[in-house]
Amino acid sequence: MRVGKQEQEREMLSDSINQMIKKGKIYDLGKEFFMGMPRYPTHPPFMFSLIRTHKKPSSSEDTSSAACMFTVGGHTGTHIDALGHKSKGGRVYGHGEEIYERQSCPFGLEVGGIEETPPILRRGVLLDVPRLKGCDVLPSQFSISDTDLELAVSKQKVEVREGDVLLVRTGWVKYWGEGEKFGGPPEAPGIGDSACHWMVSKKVAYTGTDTTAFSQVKNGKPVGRTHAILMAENGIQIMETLFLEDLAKDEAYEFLFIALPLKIKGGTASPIRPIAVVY
Amino acid sequence: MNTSELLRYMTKAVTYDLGKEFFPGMTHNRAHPTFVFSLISSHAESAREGSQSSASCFFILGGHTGTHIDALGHYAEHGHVFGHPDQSIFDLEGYTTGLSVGGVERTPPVLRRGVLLDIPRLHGCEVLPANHEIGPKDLEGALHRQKVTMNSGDVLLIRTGWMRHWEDQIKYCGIMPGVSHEGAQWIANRKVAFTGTDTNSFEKIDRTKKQVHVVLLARYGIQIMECLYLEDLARDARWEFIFVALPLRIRGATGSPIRPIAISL
Repeated sequence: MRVGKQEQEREMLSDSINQMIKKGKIYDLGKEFFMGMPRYPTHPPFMFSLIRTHKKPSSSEDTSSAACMFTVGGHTGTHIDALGHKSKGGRVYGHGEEIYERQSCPFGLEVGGIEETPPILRRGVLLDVPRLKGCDVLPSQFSISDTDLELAVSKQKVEVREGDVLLVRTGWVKYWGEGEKFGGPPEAPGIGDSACHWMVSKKVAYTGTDTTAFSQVKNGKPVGRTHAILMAENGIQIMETLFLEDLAKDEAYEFLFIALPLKIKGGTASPIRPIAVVY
Repeated sequence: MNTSELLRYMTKAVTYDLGKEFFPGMTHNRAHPTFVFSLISSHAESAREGSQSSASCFFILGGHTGTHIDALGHYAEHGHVFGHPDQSIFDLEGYTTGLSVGGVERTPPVLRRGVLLDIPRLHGCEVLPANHEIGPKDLEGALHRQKVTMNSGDVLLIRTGWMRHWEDQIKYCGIMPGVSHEGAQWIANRKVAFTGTDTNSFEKIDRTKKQVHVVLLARYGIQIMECLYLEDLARDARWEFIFVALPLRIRGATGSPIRPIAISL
């Protein structure tokens, strides 16, 4: 009897959620992958080729198919870093042993590989820092501080909770089409160390932004120790090169965030195409 | 309901992972490139710079390697891909640019109601035999037996059980059970939005000699997912769920690797 009732409730709930999915708005937070796409200079370029084209000159068949292959760096385009991407004192988050002996070129990381990342399905929050500062894009020398995030929270009247995915917008993705200015800029805005400590204190589960480096970039180098603070010390994985413009435009600051990293065994990162769902 | 309520339910739900791992030596169809991986910089190398170190990697894969979704442009009939009856695909493709129409970057994020039909369960076996053709009778039978309804716009997943042979590349990619031409027509008539299975080729060429990929992709615009891991869903008898797959937006590509999930309440 009881089981029957639970089943019934589950069905009702499932129906209403299905309705919601149909009516909800989906924001695509992933950028396209293509030859010549911008990338951070230490990572390999994206390469693509068809391996078979539809055209089969001698064929009399009325059907045809094509297939492709591609080469992609784990950290090229919209992606999520594995916890094992970064170590501190030779240790990656959650593993006591030294990483140096537990990695190899052909098999990658034995611990902290991207295959350990579960499907991400969580409450997401967007903090729009340029909006706070009254501009479109943060200036190239801007470092986002804990105060900036705190002020964005109050200005946007949104709450950051434990377990959330916290997305921080700089607006820098505006330069996506300008090659190096986006991919490997001499200067770019980014997240400062104090902002990372703030995220840790809020116990967010994941974070991400719309630049390639996450950290502020100065003289072509990332500033601070953001990756060490978030990943190696606190197990908070980072997503980069997110497309946050549409969310910001619609002031959609709270949403269901979904990202499904590929299970690349031993990989230091995976390309992703995250979405935000708003009802 | 509002966004907060959506969040409350979705984040409490049970998530089933339907994607397989990618690793060097993984099972792959020989018509497509094998998965290649390497670290490009290791922790040991970068450690010299101080107490922090980082590692990064790159990999090579085919659009149809491992768990993946076919783009509409993967197949054409009379030179046309779905949705472009007036354009010849032969004029709209290039080795480095890929397909100008029907590329996988046009596939929207997939977030829909999903239904699993478990065909071996219907026949009282663990895995369908290699010569099994899944036709309308099987699909109707499973629907009836599982007491599940299908709506237009659903994602229809079909289990053969063949994933049990995944570790054995020759067997997994050899002769395998699949959906027949009539079965494909049944799927199309149901107006599902996407379909998928746990084998590498989805279809079984039957006596009509017609390719199921052509029917579904080129004629009806129903994209196909292959090498799905459906064992846990089947074990728990979760026939209805929220299905999510987020194909990478690879410009002009004929397919994309995916890691789909099923969310069960």
